[in-house]
Amino acid sequence: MRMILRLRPYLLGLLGIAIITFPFLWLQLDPDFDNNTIKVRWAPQHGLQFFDDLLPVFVVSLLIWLGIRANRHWHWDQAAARNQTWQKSVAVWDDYWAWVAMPLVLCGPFFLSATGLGLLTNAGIYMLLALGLNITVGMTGLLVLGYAAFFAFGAYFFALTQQHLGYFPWWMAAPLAFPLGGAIGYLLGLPCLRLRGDYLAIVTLGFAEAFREIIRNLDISVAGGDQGIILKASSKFQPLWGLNRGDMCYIITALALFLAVFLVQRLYHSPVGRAWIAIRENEIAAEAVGVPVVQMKLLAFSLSAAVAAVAGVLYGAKDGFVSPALCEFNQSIMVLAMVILGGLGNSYGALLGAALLYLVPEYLKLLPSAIHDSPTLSAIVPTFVSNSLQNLSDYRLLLFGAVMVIMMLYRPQGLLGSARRKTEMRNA
Amino acid sequence: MTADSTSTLTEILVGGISRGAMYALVALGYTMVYGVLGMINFAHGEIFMIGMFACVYAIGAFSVAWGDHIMLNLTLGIMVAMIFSAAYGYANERIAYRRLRKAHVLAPLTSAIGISTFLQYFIFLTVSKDTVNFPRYYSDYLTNHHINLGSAEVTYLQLTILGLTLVIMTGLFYLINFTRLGIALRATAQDQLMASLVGIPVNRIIAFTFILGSALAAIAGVMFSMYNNVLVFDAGYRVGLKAFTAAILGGIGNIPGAVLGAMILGLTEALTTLNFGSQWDDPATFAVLMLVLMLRPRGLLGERVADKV
Amino acid sequence: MTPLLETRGLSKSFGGLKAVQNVDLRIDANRIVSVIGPNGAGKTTFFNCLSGIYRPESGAILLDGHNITGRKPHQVCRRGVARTFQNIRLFPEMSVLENVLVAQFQHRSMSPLRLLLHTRRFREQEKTSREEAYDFLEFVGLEKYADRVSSSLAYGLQRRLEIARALATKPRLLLLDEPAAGMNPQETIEMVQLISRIRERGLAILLIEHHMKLVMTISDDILVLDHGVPIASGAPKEVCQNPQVIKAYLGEESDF
Repeated sequence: MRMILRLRPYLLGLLGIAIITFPFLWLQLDPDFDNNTIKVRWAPQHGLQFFDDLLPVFVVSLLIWLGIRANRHWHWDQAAARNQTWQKSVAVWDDYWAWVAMPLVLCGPFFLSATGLGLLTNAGIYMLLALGLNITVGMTGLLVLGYAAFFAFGAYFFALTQQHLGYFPWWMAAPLAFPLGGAIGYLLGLPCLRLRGDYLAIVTLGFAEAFREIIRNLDISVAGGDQGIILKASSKFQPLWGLNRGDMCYIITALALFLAVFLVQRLYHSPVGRAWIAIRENEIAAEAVGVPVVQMKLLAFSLSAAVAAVAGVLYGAKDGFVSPALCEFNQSIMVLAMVILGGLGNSYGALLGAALLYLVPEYLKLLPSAIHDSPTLSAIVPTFVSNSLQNLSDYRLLLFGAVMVIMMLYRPQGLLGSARRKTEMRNA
Repeated sequence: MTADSTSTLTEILVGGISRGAMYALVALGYTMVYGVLGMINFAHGEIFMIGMFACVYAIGAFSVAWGDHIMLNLTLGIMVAMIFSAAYGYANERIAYRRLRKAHVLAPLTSAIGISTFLQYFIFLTVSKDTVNFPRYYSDYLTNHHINLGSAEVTYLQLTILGLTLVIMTGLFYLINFTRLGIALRATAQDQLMASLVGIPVNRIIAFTFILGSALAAIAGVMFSMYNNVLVFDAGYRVGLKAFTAAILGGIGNIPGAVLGAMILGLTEALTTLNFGSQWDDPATFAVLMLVLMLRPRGLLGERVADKV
Repeated sequence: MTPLLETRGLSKSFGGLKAVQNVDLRIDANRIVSVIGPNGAGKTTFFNCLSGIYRPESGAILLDGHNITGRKPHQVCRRGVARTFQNIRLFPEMSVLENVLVAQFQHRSMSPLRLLLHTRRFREQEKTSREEAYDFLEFVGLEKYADRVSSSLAYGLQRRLEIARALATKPRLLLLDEPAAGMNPQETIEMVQLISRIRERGLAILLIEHHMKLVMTISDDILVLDHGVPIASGAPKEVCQNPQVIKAYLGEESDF
């Protein structure tokens, strides 16, 4: 009885949610074309399908929840917390492990399949984006909602220039995209970073929408319209030294990513990085101890934009195709979700978040066919599970949304975020 | 809303003002929540979208229940839409924002973006991945009848939109300036702690703000879906962006400012459509936003608030 | 001799409220000047004008004879005026040491090559910075808390950290906004000693304080504000006998 009383608010909440989602889940709209009106039809299979598809997610969430409950009981993460020292953030060398990882990662082409390499290359580009966005959102505490615009800007800069010049390969475009992307960021940031508040979020969002509409609606011969632009073969990544094109895409992306990690981490552990954190923690105090707040914000934002532009060039050189879809709002949200999931302010967290959010759904997509192909697996795994795995990729954005809310409520510092970030997010 | 050769400038202007009025209804929700909580309720556009769909569902249900009575079903449909949107608005506040009220600005904003994405794809997955048409039998009644204003034809729908918006604005003005609830609302906006100390139920006032804003967004949603004849899962995102821009233009947190900003945006769009084509709406909106931010950073009617040091 | 800092007819109002009116102040190098006055007299507003957080409506602020009116806070800081806040504003989740390190920003080389590659010069500079930061912490007596999260410090220690942080910007003038607020008598005595030691380093100090005993012991000059208007100034002895000051503090109908 006490249990029921304790659960009452939750049960009432669930009931309320069930009521307000009822029509959308269990009824279906049926346009009546003869009379130009609309009818509603009872369609329970519709809602059942929805829950069936989400079944694996419910199971996994339940397991995670049980894990957290158990941890609350046994405190197995306390040991780590006790040893946490704050000094770490002034340490200069924290990227040693990246040096260890580098040879391993660069050997990828020797032991990975072409599909695996392709997925990892895409993941690498997302990691680069997450790393860049983390500078602004995570370190400096400024929200950017239209980050994909800078990515698309880089890609289009590359695609358009190579169209007009005879020969303009990626290695000429990438170094140029960096300052250009930075300049665009600077120009956008200038009017809104002088203001307090969240103007940057909305201005970048507006910029992304405007940029997409512009490239869509310019004359087809200029920017390709909705169809996008196919790049010339000479501009794309080329096979080299017996490595095929896929290998090269992978290796160059990996090298760019390592370079970016080194540079961003070094900047983070320098007076500039400290200034960024200071701005995030208390803007007025930062200004009062001589940190030029507006300049530092502009620097962080332009740097983010520049990284995204370079990522855009790499994407163009890898895929050989750019389109306005690159700057969809979904892209921006996906990168933001990666940064938040991984841990705001922590570069490695951003990398982890990007890898998880890109690779997990992709591999889930591959899983059903793998199950189908292998006789043993298809015998063990019931069909309804493999079916729902099949459909799960449609639910990706729905789940991203849910993850963002749940993370903010229960673990605002992200997976790899420090306790420092947690208290900061909780009590501003 | 394409500008054909027969439409006169007056018609373009009326069209612009009607669009502006719809944006204004949505912008009010943004600006009220910002005024009270200081947060951007990014999911407000989705509340608008929920209102659209709830109305069509309701009309479909009534049509099955007792046939197609235009006025009755439409009126009830709008009411159902308001109730649903208000319920979603309240649920958002309860689930995603209330616990984050004292947190860093980024936390509730991120949470709101999460809710926004979630609701969009919830409708995408459960209702329709494509556009749904508003039942023409209902909307035609309002769009085919018109009155003549000089050489211009003003449809019943435009009249309804303008009339409703005017009534709502007046009501809101009265509510905020002359009622106890309005005083409580303003007090909460200025200082939550102090308001609660003098006995104002702050939680309820904030919930009320969400419910009121959401209901207004629902009205705008229904009007908008009749005006354009389509419903789509990401309509809320697009209109929300416009409405939010309008709120910033007028000075966020400022109620008359939101209306002014929305009207400016509506007219900008109408004129852009007339001169360049509707595909340039978004770039034009963005240009206006940047211009205002550069010239009047706090918005047209916004006051410069001294930072507390 | 030009004074270190001079204000001429400084005024600032919020809407109809005239928070600061026509304040003339002169601080010579290595002096301690206090600004006192009842609550709401405009002392903090005056400070905010000096440190560039507010832009005064009229009047001028001269530092070494150079006009710094309307400069941004970080520019004021760069010219050698540092401040603390009445409601403590630390970087709450940074370590104590990092709080001080941030304040050295303007004295660090911003060469992109050094920052990005962490050259040997950079690492040497980083090392000296940290040693210097330790010195500042030692000066205020916080060296053993260097690695603690700053928000976990006790209130009095947080005030000291704020002072250490301000000192790390290497100012010539330090603005202290109620450094002894909320402190017990023992802590107040220690604060007086700290302020005197700061002066021994050659700094000038401008102080807002309610604690009269503290003000009278260490100030060279006192400026009294009431409703934004300067009503008296001069040496501590003169000021506390000034009838207008007594009236401002005790009220018109005083029976005392």
